[in-house]
Amino acid sequence: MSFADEALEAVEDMEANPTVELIPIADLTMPEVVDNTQLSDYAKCPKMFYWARLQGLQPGAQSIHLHAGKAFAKAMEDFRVCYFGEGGTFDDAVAAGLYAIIRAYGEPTEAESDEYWIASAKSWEGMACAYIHTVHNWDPRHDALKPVTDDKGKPTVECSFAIPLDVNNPSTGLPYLFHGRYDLLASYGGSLFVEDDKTASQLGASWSGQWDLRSQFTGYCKGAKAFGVGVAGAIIRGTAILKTKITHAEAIVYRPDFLIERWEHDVHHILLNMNQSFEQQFWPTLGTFNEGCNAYGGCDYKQLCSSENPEAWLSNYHRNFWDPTNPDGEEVKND
Amino acid sequence: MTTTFDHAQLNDFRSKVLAGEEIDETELRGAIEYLANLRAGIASTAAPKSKSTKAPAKTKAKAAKDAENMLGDLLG
Repeated sequence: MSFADEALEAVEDMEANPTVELIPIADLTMPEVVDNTQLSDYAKCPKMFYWARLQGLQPGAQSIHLHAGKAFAKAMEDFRVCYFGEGGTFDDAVAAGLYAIIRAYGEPTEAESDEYWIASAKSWEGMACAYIHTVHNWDPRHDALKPVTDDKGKPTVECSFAIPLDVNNPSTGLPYLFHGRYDLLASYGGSLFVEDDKTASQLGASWSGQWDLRSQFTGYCKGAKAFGVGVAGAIIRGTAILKTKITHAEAIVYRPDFLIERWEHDVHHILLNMNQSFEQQFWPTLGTFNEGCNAYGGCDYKQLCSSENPEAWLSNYHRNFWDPTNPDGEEVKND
Repeated sequence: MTTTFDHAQLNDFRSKVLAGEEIDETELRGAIEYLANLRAGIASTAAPKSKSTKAPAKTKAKAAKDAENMLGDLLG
């Protein structure tokens, strides 16, 4: 079968088996809680925000980068909880993190047997290797960065916050809530910082510069300060996972008050524009103007935007609304 | 420590963890040593670095410059 025949068959298959339907405009609602990812999505391309956040469409194939990144974050969390919170030894903590990354990566899946996954630097072995290298590189027994403990003596690992914003959600009439979650609140050189771990495919010369004005960290600092924690900025620790080696880098960025005030104005501007898009049901494809369509190997919604009949491609997607307060999509228990 | 752990044992180790089975200390050490040596970056898990991380010189210099500028902003 030729490539053209295969493509035609795929289109026919998709048209014959639509698994998801678009939500009618009258039933669309704006998210009550927004986070930096959602705001960034809208700022980059309102149409992407529409597909991802209002329609809740997610691509069928899971991104190995996302899956691997989550597993790495879970390992770092359990490592820190064991070492700083439970008084475990360094070896105990390394083991706790290793168990966590294996569980978070999960059972070998069909996708994992795919050549792409096997060849990827972010296979489960690659991620476990990167985790072990990372905790040795920033060995807490010698690290100048120390987690702050809360009033119960627990280390402030995986800190979540939600703060009300000055713009109302048109669907609820209530203020939008801004939600954030950073990996650690820590002291370093006599100042307080939020700390965030990043995995990357490489740590080039521009790696540290990309965080200088990154809204993600301004939002985290705003959140910390809203709860009376006077942080000076953020420390970003990067681990690059390559097929032949693991490398590390660290960046320190500062967030004085004027940057945080400006962030608030910017966020309000974005939210007001979001509300306008919602009221008019007009979601411009700004990604076509700012390279957003090609970022990170291509936008997940390029297929939909490229088609005159996007409904025909919906079988390539499933519905899963992003909830910033529950990033792992865990079932919420009401007990 | 010289590891004799191989990839098949690593997969067994993974299966045991996923199944919630008890892990032998020797097996755990073997898995950690094996994984640590999969890719270059640290000499050995048995001899962790004695100092905190060393950011690349460029990053350090940049951070120092940033701190100086930001201090100026903070102090008005």
